Amino acid sequence: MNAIKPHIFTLVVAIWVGFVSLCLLLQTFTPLGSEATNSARSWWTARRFQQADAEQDLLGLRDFGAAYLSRTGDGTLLDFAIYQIGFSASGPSMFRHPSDALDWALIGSEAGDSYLSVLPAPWPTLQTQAHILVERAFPLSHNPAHLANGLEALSQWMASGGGPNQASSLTSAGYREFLATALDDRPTYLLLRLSGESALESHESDR
Amino acid sequence: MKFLVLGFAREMLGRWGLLLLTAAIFTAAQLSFDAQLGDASLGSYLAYISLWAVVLLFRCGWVLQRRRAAGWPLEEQLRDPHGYRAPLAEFLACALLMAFGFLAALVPLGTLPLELPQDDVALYPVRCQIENDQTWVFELEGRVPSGSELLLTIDWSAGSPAKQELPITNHAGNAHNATAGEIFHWPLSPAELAAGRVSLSPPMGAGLRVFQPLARLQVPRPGVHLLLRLLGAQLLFFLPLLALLLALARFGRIHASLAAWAVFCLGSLVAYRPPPRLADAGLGLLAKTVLLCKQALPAVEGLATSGHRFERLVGTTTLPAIALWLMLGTLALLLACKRRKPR
Repeated sequence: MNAIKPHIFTLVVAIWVGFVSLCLLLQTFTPLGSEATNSARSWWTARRFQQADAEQDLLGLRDFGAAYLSRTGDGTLLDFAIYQIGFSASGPSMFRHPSDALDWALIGSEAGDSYLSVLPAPWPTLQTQAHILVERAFPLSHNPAHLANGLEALSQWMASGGGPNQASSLTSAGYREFLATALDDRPTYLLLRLSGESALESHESDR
Repeated sequence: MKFLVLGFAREMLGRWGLLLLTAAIFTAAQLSFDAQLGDASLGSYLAYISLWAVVLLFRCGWVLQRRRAAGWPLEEQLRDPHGYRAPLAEFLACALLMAFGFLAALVPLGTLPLELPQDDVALYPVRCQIENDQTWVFELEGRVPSGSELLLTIDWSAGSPAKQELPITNHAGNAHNATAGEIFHWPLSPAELAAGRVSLSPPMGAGLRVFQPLARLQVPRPGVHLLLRLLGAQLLFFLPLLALLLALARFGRIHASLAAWAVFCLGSLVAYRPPPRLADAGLGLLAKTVLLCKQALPAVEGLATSGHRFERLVGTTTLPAIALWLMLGTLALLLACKRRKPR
């Protein structure tokens, strides 16, 4: 006992170190400096995302965008991925088989749905979602649920006025017009609004 | 004393220390702020720089143990009858090296062509519950920096089209007007920040509905001009840990490298921020114990905040918590200076 006595404090500290190290190993909590490794990993994820973009690896875009979101809380990469997968990849300029194009549109839309509540700025995703479902998925699938969900997403986006970063008085005024429209005419109003936006966008891209 | 400090600092740095520090700082600046390849994140830069302090903790333990093995304690007893010069010199040397590393972190920002982040805002999802069909309750999940706001997207489609601007009130009776087709901003009052919970009520019968998945907390994100202050906060966090390391190694007479590990574990626990909704999850015994230990320590995790979500904790540490943390450090330093009788 006398031999152990001088080392009791060392034993206590060793037990403390062992307990906390076990917690760290089991990832009960994170060690000091773990944010640096997390930053380095997120930097690497962003590079992988760029590589996936260059190689047109659409599923890679989604996965790396989601990984970047979970590591950094920044959803811009995932937003871009959802647009690329759901809207660009399923567009007529890609000359895909209709079933193939529909698949990509639905993959993009599902990604938008599943990450909407965790994206820091979900409003642009809502707009993308509306365009994907109404302009890509519905014409290919003729599924009324796609049209209804797309219009619902558009109305939510308009209710936000475009979101805090892209706030537009035109969108806000559009939502107030939408509210003033009779209940039965609201889907038609939203469709007109969406086609007007698309026409404006294609006009801008032609210029 | 001056020579003791210089000697210890030289031993801490070793042959390549300064070169490695310079390379690490410039690499960290490129990874964080380079226009093409960088993360454009001040938090990420802070995270890389805080590694310097962690490395110094372990290096200090290693040097202390090496000196012990070389017979320094006996030498100290002969040269310094009071026994405070060597521990103070060790503490000062480490503190100066830490401060030097943090100040050196400012150099690349002025010399390299980097894209430095300015003041901005960050958005976080907020959990929203609807109580009694009329009250929206938002859980902020821990302390939130002042200047934060709730951003709500409100569905007006079930209400009267004639009413496109309505007041929304909290339980204290404060009201802000919400407009159809615009995000509703609710600035958080000090009471709401302290409670970590906000209850809002729309007018009775107005038919307003909040889109729950779109509720967000907007937190101000400091720009690069606050880097010095943030690094100062990191210094305040690490200095008491350094004092504790000296106390454990000298007064506690344990292996100095083990003491460095113990202090690193303690620092990790203090800097740990339990993830949101931890209380809901079925916690194991280990997690419960960690949570209990964490609650027993001063809540100074805001001082060590870094990483991509660093703005969530900036400025959330209270003055009493900082004072308590520094007092613990001072106590540890006093213990380190107290010479014990040889065994």
